[in-house]
Amino acid sequence: MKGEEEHKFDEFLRQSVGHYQAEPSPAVWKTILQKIPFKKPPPFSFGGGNTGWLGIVAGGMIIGSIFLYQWSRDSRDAATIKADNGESSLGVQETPFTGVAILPEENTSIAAIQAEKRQDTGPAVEETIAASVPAQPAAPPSGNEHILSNSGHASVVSAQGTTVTTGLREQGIVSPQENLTAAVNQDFKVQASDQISNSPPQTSVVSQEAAEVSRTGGVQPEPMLIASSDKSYYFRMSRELLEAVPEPGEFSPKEPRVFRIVSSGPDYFRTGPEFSLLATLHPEWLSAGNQNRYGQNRQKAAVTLRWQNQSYRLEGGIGLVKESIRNNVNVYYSQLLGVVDKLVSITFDSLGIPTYHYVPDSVYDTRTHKTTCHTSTDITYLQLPFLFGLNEKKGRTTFSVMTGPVMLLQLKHTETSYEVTPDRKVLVTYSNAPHDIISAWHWHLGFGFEYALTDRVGFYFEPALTASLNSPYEANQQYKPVYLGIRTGISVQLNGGNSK
Amino acid sequence: MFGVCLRYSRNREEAEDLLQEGFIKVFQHIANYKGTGSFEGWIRRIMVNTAINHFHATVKQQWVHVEDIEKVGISQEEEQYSPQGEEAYAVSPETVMQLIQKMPDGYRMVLNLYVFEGYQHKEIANMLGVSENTSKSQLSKGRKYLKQLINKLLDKEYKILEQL
Repeated sequence: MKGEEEHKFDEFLRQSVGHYQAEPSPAVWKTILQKIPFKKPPPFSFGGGNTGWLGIVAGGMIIGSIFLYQWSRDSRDAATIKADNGESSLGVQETPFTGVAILPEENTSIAAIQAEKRQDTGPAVEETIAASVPAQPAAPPSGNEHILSNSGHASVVSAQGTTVTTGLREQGIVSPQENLTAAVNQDFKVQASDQISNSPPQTSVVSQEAAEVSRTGGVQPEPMLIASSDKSYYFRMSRELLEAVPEPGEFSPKEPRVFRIVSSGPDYFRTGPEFSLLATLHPEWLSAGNQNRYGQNRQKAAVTLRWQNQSYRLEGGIGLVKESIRNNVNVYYSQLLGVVDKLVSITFDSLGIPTYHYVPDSVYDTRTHKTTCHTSTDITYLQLPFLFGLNEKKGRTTFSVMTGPVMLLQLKHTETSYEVTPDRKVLVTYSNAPHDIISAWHWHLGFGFEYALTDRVGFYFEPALTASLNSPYEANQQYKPVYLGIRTGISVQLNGGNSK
Repeated sequence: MFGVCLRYSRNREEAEDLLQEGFIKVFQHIANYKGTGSFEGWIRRIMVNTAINHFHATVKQQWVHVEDIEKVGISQEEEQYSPQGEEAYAVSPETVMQLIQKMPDGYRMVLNLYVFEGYQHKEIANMLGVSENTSKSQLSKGRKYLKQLINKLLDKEYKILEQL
């Protein structure tokens, strides 16, 4: 019985004040706002403290592009050597020398060797350096000339030089104190022909630059430069040195052939359809207007597969979007003047005696007061771009206009903010993750250009405009913000295309 | 949340202090809220914890013995308040809140945790650092004390009306 009474009393208390609502004085909220350590986002922040993943992506892109740059040069070297000779069994690819020309014994047909100076934005300018060659120092006593041409990337040449030096040292040709080194410093194109078979000249691209090949460290350094123009350098190498090249295969100086095997130049004049991967970072800023309602900036990262020919381009892929909203929200409230007792009911007992019941009622002034609250919202989307456009190649540079829809799927929504509820004028805060996937559609329009760093790797830059086709925030779809952004990235070609 | 703070405090000023301290904790630890469960419940729990900490930190004489009741002028012989029928409406929520605030700190704390938050005596004992029996006795005495306050208030109102 006693327990039942206690239960009733507890229930009475719960019903009476279990959901009791009251308003604190407005000064409390002001104090709270002052004491909360809000972090003010830096101007033009790429997401405040949430840029770690972007940094990882950017770092990966930089490291990857460096790797791909080197890889594309190396693969280009090997491919060109093979193509120019038409005889893969020459063994040249396996020798440390990637650019060696051997003149026939009876001849100094250096005239057969022509160099085309490369220019990036115009047709190649052909320059014959034959005239300058005979003026060079006399041929070696054997009557043979062996020309070591520049080729390859500086570091590659250096490494190969080291290999050569090792081989030559084993045979006592290069002393232990000597090093055979090479450095390069200019782009040019070289034609080569087989003097015996009169095969058609074959062209390969010499990338980078030829500066000097010399033996250093020895007691008597041997100058090897025998011909040069303002852009080209040719070098002589003794028969002994060539014969000492490890694993020469059929590449023998005794054969009366002219091998002009140089390579490693990027071919920027591909004309055929190409497939490439494009990794991009795409920071966006909200255009003027609506800045107090939506995210001032967004960060996009994507990897897309791209097809293009001389005129058209298609692009599709997948990526992430991180949207950050840092707002100051004005919260309006009325100043509390005081509390008065308000009569709410009168009850009568069995004798008819009334009981007056009062509740304290807050009285506010009529003037609206304002305080500023901070909000922080982070939304993560999965983005699926489908872009198409036109492109025009100009030498190393490709100009393009890309447009198309981008689908966004909201993955996460975290919000920390103050809010004034309509009935209580009380500030509350909430944070949540969406239970349902919310989709949004954007339309992308970008004006880009791409600069070929190598024959496979390019740098992409595209100022872009992004218009919202629907609003993920508003049920009434009234607000569809427009963003301005810059899409930058690295492209890597997957196929070779057709060279001119 | 201010209503919760009022129930755990002696007066409005103390409740505002609790609210302020609690909300600062909410914002400082907002990252710890994982989105599972009611956000209001999470805030309420922070408020209650803040009240318990405040209770430990500021209240020196926490536990009231039977004889203390005499000091506030209420005899144990007064009838226990047993709300039934129309009489239940005779005490407004504001009045009940004021009477709860008048309760000794220990009574009020245990009553709040047991009646409104739904904790068991074992949990309350752990939270407040007392024995389970102390929690039970404080609840029993708290109920009795509150009933007596209500009865006394109703008696006063009745006498005033009689004079009218």
